[in-house]
Amino acid sequence: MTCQAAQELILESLDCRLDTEQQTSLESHIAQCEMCRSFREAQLVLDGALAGHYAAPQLSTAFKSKLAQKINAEKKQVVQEWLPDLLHLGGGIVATAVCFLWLPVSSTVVLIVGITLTFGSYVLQTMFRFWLEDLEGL
Amino acid sequence: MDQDIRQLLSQRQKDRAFEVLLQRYQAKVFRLVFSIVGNSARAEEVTQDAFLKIWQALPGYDGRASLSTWIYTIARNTSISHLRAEFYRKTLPLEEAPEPFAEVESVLSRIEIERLLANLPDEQREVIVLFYLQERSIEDVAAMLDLPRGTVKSHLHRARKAMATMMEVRR
Repeated sequence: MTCQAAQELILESLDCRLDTEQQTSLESHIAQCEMCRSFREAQLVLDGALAGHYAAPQLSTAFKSKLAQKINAEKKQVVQEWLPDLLHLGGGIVATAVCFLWLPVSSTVVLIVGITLTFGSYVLQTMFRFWLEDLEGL
Repeated sequence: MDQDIRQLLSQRQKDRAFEVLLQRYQAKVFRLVFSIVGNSARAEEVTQDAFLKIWQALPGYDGRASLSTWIYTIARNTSISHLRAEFYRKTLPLEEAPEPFAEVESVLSRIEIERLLANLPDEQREVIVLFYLQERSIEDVAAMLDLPRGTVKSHLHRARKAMATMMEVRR
């Protein structure tokens, strides 16, 4: 076995277990080679030091409950963000339905005017909201 | 590996899928974030933010990338955004300064290890740090960095050789 092959096996042995044949040939090479012996020593020292240095940190016990709080807050925020839109559209539909039932005007006209006003005011409201958000961002 | 999660997602059971995913990946993601952020309290907060983003994006996961790669990409991006925000704030309180990794009695001092690592190319340093933080799993490191297994091993071996040479020179 060459020194280069032995040193590759030494490095390999730090990542995973060598098979018996590899282990045996490595040991017999190391028994005769001072350079590879000191290479292995240096690698073992380094490996031990790095493993100790980078001992894996643990999550705290509160991790899951805090994450659940964040997710719940996010769920609420999503509902709150949609609430004005839902109320607006719902209000428009209810108003159109009331006019449809009560006004002595052609039902087609009521429907067209109702839908136009509902969606038109919705678009204007959304544009106004974006404009306000832009102002806040400045 | 994550077939169960994919199956739950296809059945529109988002919350259950997220639960399984969280259980499987929380420790690995935390260690990945820790390797970038360098402070365990901060890393925990960033890990929560990363999982919040994962929860938000989960219904849109299209399965093109493997689930683990998708999760680690979100975690890395969240950590990097956090570091950028910290950098712009420039007010890192003293108690939140990057904490040293585990303090151990070792043949090599903590400072010496840091010095050896500082002299490695970025990609080798990243692989070495993640390899030890992820409890020696080359598969996890490969998934986290989106690199082939062989490339991770080659970075590891080069880094170890370079560090040993540096140790030799300093003696």
